[in-house]
Amino acid sequence: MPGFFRPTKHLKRKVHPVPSVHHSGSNGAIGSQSHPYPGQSSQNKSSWTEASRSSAAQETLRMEQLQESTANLDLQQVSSVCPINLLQQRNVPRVEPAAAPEPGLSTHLRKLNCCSDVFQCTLVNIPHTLAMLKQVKLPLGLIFQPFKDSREPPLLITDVPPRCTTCQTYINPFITFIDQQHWKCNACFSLNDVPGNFLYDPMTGSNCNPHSRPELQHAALEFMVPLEYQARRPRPVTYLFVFDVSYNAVETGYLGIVCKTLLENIDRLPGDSQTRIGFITFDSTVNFYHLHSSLTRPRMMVVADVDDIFIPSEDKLLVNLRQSRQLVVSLLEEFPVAFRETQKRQCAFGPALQAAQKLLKYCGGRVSAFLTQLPNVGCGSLQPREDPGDSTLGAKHFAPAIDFYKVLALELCGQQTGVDLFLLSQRYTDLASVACLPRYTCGYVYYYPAFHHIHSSALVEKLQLEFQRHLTRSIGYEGLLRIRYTQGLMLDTYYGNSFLQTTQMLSLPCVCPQAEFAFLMMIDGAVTESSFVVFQSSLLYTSCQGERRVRIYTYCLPVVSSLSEVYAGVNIAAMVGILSKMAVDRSVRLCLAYTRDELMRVLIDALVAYRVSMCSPKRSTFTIPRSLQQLPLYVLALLKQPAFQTDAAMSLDERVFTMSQLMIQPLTLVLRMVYPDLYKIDDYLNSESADNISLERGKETVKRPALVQLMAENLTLQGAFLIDCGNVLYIWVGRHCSTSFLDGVLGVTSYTSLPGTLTLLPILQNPASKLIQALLGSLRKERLYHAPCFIIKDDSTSRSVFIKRLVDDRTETAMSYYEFLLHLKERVCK
Amino acid sequence: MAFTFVVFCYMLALLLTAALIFFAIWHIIAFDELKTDYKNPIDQCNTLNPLVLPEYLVHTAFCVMFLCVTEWLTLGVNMPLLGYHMRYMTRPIMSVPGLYDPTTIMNADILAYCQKEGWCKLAFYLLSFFYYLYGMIYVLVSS
Repeated sequence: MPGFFRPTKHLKRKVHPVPSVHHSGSNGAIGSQSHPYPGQSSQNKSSWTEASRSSAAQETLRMEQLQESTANLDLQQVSSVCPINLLQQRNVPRVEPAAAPEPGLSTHLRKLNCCSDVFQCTLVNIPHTLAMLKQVKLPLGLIFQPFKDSREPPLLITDVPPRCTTCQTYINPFITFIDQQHWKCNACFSLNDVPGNFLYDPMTGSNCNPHSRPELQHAALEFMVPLEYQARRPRPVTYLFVFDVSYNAVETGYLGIVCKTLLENIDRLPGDSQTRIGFITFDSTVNFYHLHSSLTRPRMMVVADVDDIFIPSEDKLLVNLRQSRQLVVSLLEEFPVAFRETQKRQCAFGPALQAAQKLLKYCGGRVSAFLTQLPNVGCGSLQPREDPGDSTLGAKHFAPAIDFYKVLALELCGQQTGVDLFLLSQRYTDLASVACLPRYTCGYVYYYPAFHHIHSSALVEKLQLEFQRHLTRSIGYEGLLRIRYTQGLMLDTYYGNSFLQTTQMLSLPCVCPQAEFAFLMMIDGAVTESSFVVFQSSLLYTSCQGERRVRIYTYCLPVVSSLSEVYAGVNIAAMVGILSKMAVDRSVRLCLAYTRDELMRVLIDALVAYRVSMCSPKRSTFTIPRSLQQLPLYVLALLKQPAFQTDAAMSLDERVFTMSQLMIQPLTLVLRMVYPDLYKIDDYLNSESADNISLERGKETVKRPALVQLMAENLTLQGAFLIDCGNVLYIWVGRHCSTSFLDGVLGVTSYTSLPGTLTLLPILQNPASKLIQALLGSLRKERLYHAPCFIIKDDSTSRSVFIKRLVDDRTETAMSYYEFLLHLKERVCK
Repeated sequence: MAFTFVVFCYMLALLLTAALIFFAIWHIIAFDELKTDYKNPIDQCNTLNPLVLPEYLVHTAFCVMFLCVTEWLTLGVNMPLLGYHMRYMTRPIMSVPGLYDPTTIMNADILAYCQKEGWCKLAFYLLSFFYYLYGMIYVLVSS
């Protein structure tokens, strides 16, 4: 890690052998050693760590054995607890969150443990009592993506793994065998019988070691549910598209783009030969389309009575895609033309969705709904409630105005129907109410403020790419996610899309690889019976090919009883994720001002708790452990988030959308939204010119340029910088930027010929542009939303858009990072 | 021993408190069923929500009755609960009368709070049952 505390020369020691037993035997020894002379002993330990790394392999082997036998704080973790004084280290780098610490498990268990990109926990070493967790004052949270395309995909096995008879937890690599015939479940600690096929292999006819079974060797498994366990056969996938065709919609011109994209991807919709499709359009009436293959042309049926929606002849509305393909194609070609002359300005969104719900009552599926204005006809009509003069933003603005959409969403969830909403409006559309639909059915909102097919080319490209991704990505249907954990822990709150059906189960009608779930956990008394806790997520879903499968991930973490170990295991990235979700939850339920106070309070409480428990309170220097050193920076970045600032010029819809993104987006994206990544890219081109050739041969990974801290003093006039804010990318071009960069990547001859407003990055045919596009492609990979890339000149009018992202700097309303540290010091060290 | 209106009030309160005790027991059982994953929150909220407003109205009717007959001590005992029932004004947005939102009810803090509330109300209604019984006999005997 850069900025590592370099030991001064006179304290460097020669290599010592492995520490003797008594040193590691006493749990608090390492912590208490740092008491009298923290500066000195931390430097001792850092030299120790350096020395031990360079020591012979034999000694590292002995150390590993010692670690395995005592399962105690290892030397690497020791360095992460050493206290540092942030004020003295202004350049402690912080350009990206520290890598998640390894749990203090033995190496054997570490190898078996689930991959860390699926499960992340804020405290990697779990405190063993509630009192200790309260003493640390840090939230214990779990963030996981059960359907992710992980770099270690789950192993597909043929048999159903045995389950505990009491709590139904699947067998996993972390259980213990009591004797040959019994195994002890690590969630409820009850004994179960070892099934016969674990001990006796019928193929070879001999006894086999149960440990060699795949269920006990892999923490990520997938198996197919046998037919006798299924309630009914899996239903075929059904796609329903609900289009807004009012005057407003035709003005924006989205229908042509969407129909064209759908036509291009009609054969790439995930599914099999039984896949079904249907269409509904609405303006002041709701229109259905007969597409049965016996007809020669699609027929439209108009239902004008929006107060009492009924479905005309439903078997002809949802048709088999393969059989009626020609009709579907001709319908999609007709749509943009048929409604060109419409003058209807009403929008019957509520009735259209009620119709969708009735249509999909017995088959479930996925609804993709498009909306361009505030619904104003029939049930579910909304009133504009945005008041620009009102700065007390709180529950009355962020909570839904009516519960029609929430009730409808709950019904849809019960029918296993997911809704994805595309909002393309230019005015206020009460996103807070309408977004209840995707929120409780595990769908997503795609928001394009001020969309227009001619004037907003960036949004047009975004819509095309996002809709294409939405159509073609692999999904699971009729999903049921259950999370099981060791006794002694308890689920406190759930953050994310969907809602808890039981204390441990979520119903997910459509789950996609980017779906992420976060739980805030609490310790129920104490975790006494075991030295490990286990989290198991089992997702039962129907794949697009109609197979009913279960995907199991098991994650094991150690339980520790000393505070220093708890502090050593802090995972800053997960902590920031949980804090941002807590902040959004508070804003929606209470008010924004309360959220900001709450964030500050959490940070100060955590630092004061460290001060009280680990160092002597009389000292006036402001020390925090290395593992928490990035926390003040990220809390400052959260406080500066425009969504949490009452004076930021954001429309209410945009604010609600940004908050929902902080809540549901995967952790890597949330971290970029909170603290963007800044890269210097004009150097990158020069140094990477040798790699151009390998890139074009289809090399997968692209080397990224070095990250730079978010301060204005890092922006040089000769350079060009790329900032990755999660949902948008900006390239800032300095005044004296090199002409090769301007010419190759931006396509202009000189700096002055760059336009003064935001423009999209052009795609050119020279190697430099290709390199930059490859870099952008690798950054945008696996994201749910497409991030457009804009160019900003140094002296353009849109300069503030870039400058306000530089979190470390001072603005009119907020402090710079250093000032924030001073402010914290005052509050903490009083 | 005159059968005055006050006696009638106490008798009516006694009978209706029995109904309130029944509601409180129903609440406790319902939240316990939710906690042990016996029922799903949507169905449970559909049974719980219709009972909230009748309970609050019955209790408000008591207070009005005791105000009319100027039984100040009884009114004073019921005042805190009336104040607590004012939280109905800050309920989540719902089109049907009720207090419980199925999407947030399964969070551990809300579930624990509702269970505690159920037990406290049960204790209060039981005590007030015996208080009304005593009050009725006292008024009967002393008038």
